[in-house]
Amino acid sequence: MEESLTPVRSRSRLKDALTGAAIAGAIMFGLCFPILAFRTDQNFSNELYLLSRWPAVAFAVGLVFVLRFTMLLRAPRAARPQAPPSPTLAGALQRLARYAGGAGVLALIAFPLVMVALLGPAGAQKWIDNFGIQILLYVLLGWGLNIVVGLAGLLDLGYVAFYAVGAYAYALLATYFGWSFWLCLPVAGLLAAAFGVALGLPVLRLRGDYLAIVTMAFGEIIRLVLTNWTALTNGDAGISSIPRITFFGWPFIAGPNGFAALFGLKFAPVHRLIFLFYLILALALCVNYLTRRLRKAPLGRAFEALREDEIACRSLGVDTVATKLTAFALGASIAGMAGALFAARQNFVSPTSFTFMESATILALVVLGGAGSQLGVALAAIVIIGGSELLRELDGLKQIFGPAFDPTQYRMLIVGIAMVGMMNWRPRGLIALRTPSIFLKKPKLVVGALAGEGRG
Amino acid sequence: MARDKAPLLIVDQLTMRFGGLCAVDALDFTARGGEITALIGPNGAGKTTLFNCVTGFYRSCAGRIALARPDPDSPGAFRADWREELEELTRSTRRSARLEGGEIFLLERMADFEIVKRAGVARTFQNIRLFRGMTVLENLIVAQHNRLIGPALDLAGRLGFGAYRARERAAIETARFWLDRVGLIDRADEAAGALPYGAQRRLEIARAMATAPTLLCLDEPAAGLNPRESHELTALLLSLRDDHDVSILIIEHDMSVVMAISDHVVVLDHGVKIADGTARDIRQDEAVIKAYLGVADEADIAAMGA
Repeated sequence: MEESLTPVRSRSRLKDALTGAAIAGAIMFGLCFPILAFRTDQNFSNELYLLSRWPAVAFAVGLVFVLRFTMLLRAPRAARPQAPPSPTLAGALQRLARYAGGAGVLALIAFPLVMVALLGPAGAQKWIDNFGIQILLYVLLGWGLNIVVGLAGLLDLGYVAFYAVGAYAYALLATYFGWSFWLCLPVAGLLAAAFGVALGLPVLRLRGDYLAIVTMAFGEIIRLVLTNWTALTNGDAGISSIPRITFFGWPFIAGPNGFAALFGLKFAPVHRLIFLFYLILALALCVNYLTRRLRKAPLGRAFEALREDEIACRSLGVDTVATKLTAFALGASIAGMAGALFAARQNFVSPTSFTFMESATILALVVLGGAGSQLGVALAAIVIIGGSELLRELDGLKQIFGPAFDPTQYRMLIVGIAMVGMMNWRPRGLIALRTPSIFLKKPKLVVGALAGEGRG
Repeated sequence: MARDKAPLLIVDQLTMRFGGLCAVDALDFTARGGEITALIGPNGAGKTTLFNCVTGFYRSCAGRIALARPDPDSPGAFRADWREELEELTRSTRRSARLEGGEIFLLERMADFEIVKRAGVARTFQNIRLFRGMTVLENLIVAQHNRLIGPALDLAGRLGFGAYRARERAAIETARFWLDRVGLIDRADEAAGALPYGAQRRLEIARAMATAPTLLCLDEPAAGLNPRESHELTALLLSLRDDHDVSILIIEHDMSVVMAISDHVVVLDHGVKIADGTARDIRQDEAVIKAYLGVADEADIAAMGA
């Protein structure tokens, strides 16, 4: 293709690329100037002095210039037509996905045992807790939000509120009334579902951006109530010493009444984590199964129809009020149960765990995974949550970049770059194909570009 | 077939205002069962507003919209004149009343989804509203939502188990029937949004029919169709009326379609009815020619004369 270009055109393209890159560089300079160029610091006598960092600015601007220049030079000026992903490739991916699901479940079942076998009971703790349990909690949350956002198309930016309701439900009921975890788990789900309906009622008429803003406000309201109702929630200090999870009544302790003694094992703290891991896994698999069934049932189809076109739904006799409320309640109850598990894992809850950032992260999992795709959301959780946890482990990088280098500080930067990249190359998420819920002859995958986003 | 000509939809003094704009002004008309009633009029005459009032998308400011739905199982048992019962229903606060062989409804007291579900009014839209990311078949299955969802306590059915399976099989058969009827059976598993324009129009009609309506409201179904397609549409609509016992209320600008199929034409202009009669009457009505067609628009006059 390059050969067919006439010299005149390639020269003009070079010029265009240079101009474009210069503009991008100028924008970067404008951004860098207030943020990067100057920094105030304190000297030994506690006086502020101005530190200028022009080499860093030059580096950032130069980097943007070079990247933008190569990008413009490579891409033809006219926007490439957005080719939908080819169905054959998509089909191959989907076939792969069918096995990926089963293989993933097997890998997850084996994960804690492999970790214990490789690293011993003490070494495995960190991996099971920080990676296994944390990722699974996010998978659970992502799947819950997937019902609301991915299926029903209701953009919910305050999803973490239901997570908080579930966590505090367990924390309060267990510490004040001594309710067992097994009783609290469904109660947390039901309570969160009630909050879901409470949120759903006032926002029934809202769609898209307006819905997003109101749900976001709802999330903040819940967090502020938890912060300020100190008599009940102990405010920012949070609720500590929440009873630990037990193995159906047998606590995970070293004594003769503990779990280890029951099975004649040598006591290890990792037992509790392994149990929690399998518990969350079992719950997640249940949620996944029910969601898949739901998609093939009238209610799930009504969710998807609601996402596609609410007015058409009403014209076909679908009760959109009941359908929306059910979607909110279902999504919320999953978050509520995840919250109870979260509280059981931490033994401590405080409002700081339920900031808007959490809602944004969960929403990012759904969007990056591909709205509506269960597997996509799980993959996104592994990549985003697992990836950012993994950065903590990369101490080896210190040997390259010097001892002051802290990889965890770059976590959000990398996640941000990954998101921009995803939105550029796969705007509909990792798995952007919709599998029909029913078919006459042969199921044909629907490309994501056709599916609605719930903007009505 | 005198019983078929019983009034199906009675609109009395219907008024719809948007702020200072009076889109529909004290409109009266009656559509009869087993007939195709056309609503015509220039742009902005209030046709679509009237549709939105009838189907519950707008809450009318004043007036009455009454609909009769004879029981599908016992056609003929329903009485031809239900005016008296209607007056009684209007005086009460109820939304519907059971009569022998059928039920009458006051649509202005009902929510949009109830109008479809209970009164059996289905509609299509001027700008096609399909579930674009769902397949053709799924579009027709969603249309049968209320029959599929079953009793409120059928929890197993909610997840697609038990008695639901039989209901789903029946729904697929209904879908298959209507897809066959509009010539889309071979494209049942394709995304609705990927269909060509004419096929999307037909799919929207099939989807409305899948709700098993008594009254089908079509908002400009021939818009954007080529002559062959609009000829097929004409045949389809006549067959719906004659073979499937559906009454049709249609808004249409294509005069060749209107003249070919309408049993009864209502002409609106600026929210007011200016003529009401058979297609033949309308064709000769001076007020209609003046107000609607404009004197200069000879192509349309020729079409009317055709």
